[in-house]
Amino acid sequence: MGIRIPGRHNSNCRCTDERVEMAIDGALSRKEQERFLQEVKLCAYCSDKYEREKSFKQFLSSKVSRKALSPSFISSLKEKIGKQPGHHGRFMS
Amino acid sequence: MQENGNQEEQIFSEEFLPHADALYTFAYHLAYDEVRAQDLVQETYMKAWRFIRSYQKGTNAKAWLFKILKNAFINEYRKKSKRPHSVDFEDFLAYHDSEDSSYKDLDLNNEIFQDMMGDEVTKALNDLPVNFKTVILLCDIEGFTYEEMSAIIGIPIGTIRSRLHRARNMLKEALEGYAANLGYTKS
Ligand SMILES: [Zn+2]
Repeated sequence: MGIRIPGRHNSNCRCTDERVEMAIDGALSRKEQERFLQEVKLCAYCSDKYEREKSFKQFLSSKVSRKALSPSFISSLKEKIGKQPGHHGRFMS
Repeated sequence: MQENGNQEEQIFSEEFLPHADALYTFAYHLAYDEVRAQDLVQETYMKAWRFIRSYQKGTNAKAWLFKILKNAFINEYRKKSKRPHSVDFEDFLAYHDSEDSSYKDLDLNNEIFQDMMGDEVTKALNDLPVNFKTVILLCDIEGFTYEEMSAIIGIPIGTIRSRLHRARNMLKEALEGYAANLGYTKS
């Protein structure tokens, strides 16, 4: 257990930038994730970084535009598939 | 034979078509053009139908379709840039992944970022080189795992991670530049 000093790693901190990114990307196992969340609380530098990286990911996810195809695009796609060799006519749905 | 056909149609309708909008979003950000993006989606589904027998029912249809679309885009990109086919695209780019392990910070608490329109963030994303944009789209927008991204792009997980790290840094820098243009300077 160490002292929290803002802007610097706790002397016992085992977190790395890589581990922080793996945690926000859900790339750690459940056990590793639990351990990370416990450990990150002990280091002001890493907990701050973790929160900022998480916010950035959420920011991107909420701001980047999602596109939607029109129903007519899907119908015409099915029609084209229906005319492909190996297909027997109309699409079922 | 008819039964096979029905099963294939079922896979197509139930496992492939639900990803159409996600594929369109991916294609749109790669091509930054709605018409080209729709062509890429159509090409992806035509190929998926042609090769449906090599797809195993109930496996990862979304990753399989994204891989087809990404390859279709890269082929088109190569043709346009007249890059020789003998040069492996990913090998060529791998060099650029090895640099920059620094950590770039962005103060999202500043309201300028919260007020940023999706269009502005989309533009910053679309200005990234295609290989960096791809990992952001796959990971942060579509939620693919490192393993899935590795299979879609065809590069090792370590490269995925370093590329993602760099891509995020580049995007933060671009957004910061954008904010600076709007009169916000980091304290
Ligand atoms: Zn730390």
